[in-house]
Amino acid sequence: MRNSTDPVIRRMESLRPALATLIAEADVARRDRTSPDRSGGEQVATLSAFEDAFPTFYQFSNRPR
Amino acid sequence: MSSSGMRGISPVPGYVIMQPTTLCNLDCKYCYLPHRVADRRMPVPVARAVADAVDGWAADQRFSVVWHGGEPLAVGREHLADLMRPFDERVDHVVQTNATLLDDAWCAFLAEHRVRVGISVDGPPERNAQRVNRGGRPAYEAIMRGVDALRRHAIPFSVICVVSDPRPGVARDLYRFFRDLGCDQLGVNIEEREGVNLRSNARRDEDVRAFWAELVDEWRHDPVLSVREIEWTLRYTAAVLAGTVDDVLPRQHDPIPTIAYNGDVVVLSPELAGFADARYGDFTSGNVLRTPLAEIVANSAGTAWVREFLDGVERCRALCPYFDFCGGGHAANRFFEQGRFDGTETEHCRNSKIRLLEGVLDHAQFH
Repeated sequence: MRNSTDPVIRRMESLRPALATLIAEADVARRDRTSPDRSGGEQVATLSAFEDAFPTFYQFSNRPR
Repeated sequence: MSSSGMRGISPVPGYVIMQPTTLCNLDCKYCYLPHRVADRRMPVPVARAVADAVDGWAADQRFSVVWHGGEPLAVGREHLADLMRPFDERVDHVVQTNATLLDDAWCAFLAEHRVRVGISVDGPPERNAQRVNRGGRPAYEAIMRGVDALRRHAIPFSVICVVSDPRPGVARDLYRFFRDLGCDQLGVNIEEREGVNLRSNARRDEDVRAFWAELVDEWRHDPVLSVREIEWTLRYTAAVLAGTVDDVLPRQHDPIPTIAYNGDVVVLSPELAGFADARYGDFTSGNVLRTPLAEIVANSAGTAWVREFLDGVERCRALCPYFDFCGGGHAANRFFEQGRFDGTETEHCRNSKIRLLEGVLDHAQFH
């Protein structure tokens, strides 16, 4: 289990407020992009949209199961 | 110590990559493909054998068949239709194309067969200069004609962009270009040293981090595009902050079978298809004309180089603080950079994973 001695995790924890803002903005942007208005009335995938668009990008598209 | 429970290779893939032809009508300077001058076409029996397995997998989950290449449109509509015909209608079809052959007839074909489209373009003309035709002339105008055809037919498309010089100033240009191009999704690949592309991909740490940080900055000003690398990084970051990191990676590596034109199957890294090595042979795990694909995939962990790769993944897990973000260095990058599969950190890891994550964190820290 990763913990606070891990330098990567420690850095993320130290940036928690800024990252939380960024993550929230990304959520809003994702919802806006996939709203029926923007997608021509068709509901499209949200969280997995980039994986659906890039099945060839195996590095990040090992789809969570 | 990693938090991810991802171990081994899944016996069932989420997609297959098909090589309908080895031929490509372009001659991009960073291309890894070894036989792209030759038009070695996939016969229909190969597609039929793949469909036998894929139709079963698609009954239980969303499943994609990715027509890659070479340039997949170079086989022509009639032959591509023949290759697609054996597959069940539940199967998603995707083409990853250089767009230069796209016209009204191709767009009608793609719409009729409900094929999702990914195109390869590296940005405005000065940033797309490495994408050239066989005469060495820029492919940009031909690519844009293809994009115009997609727009005329209202066919949505994603873009994969290769960046050979990640540094400050580049990301701003690229984001603005792709924002205006009309694509839905953008994936950014830092050039890799693999296959017949022997150019070094060693980059200055500060340049690459600044590139990614700048991309986040541009995206944040106008987040109309979904940028694959940003989405993934924020998904991981959110999971870390929520204490749910083990939910990020899958339980097992996707085997990602690549089916070469002749039916040979290479798992994990499409870039290994068509290559051979004295130590590892031709990297294949079987041929669909002789062995059912499901059986090849289920037994692929027994392929000698795959076993070595899995040892390498475990070394990454033990040594690398970024493992939960990426799941271990990729097979082709290990082999083409290090000559073996059980090494750990590659230049690709640094450019496209470590510096990506650190660049996003840099942005968060300084904005």
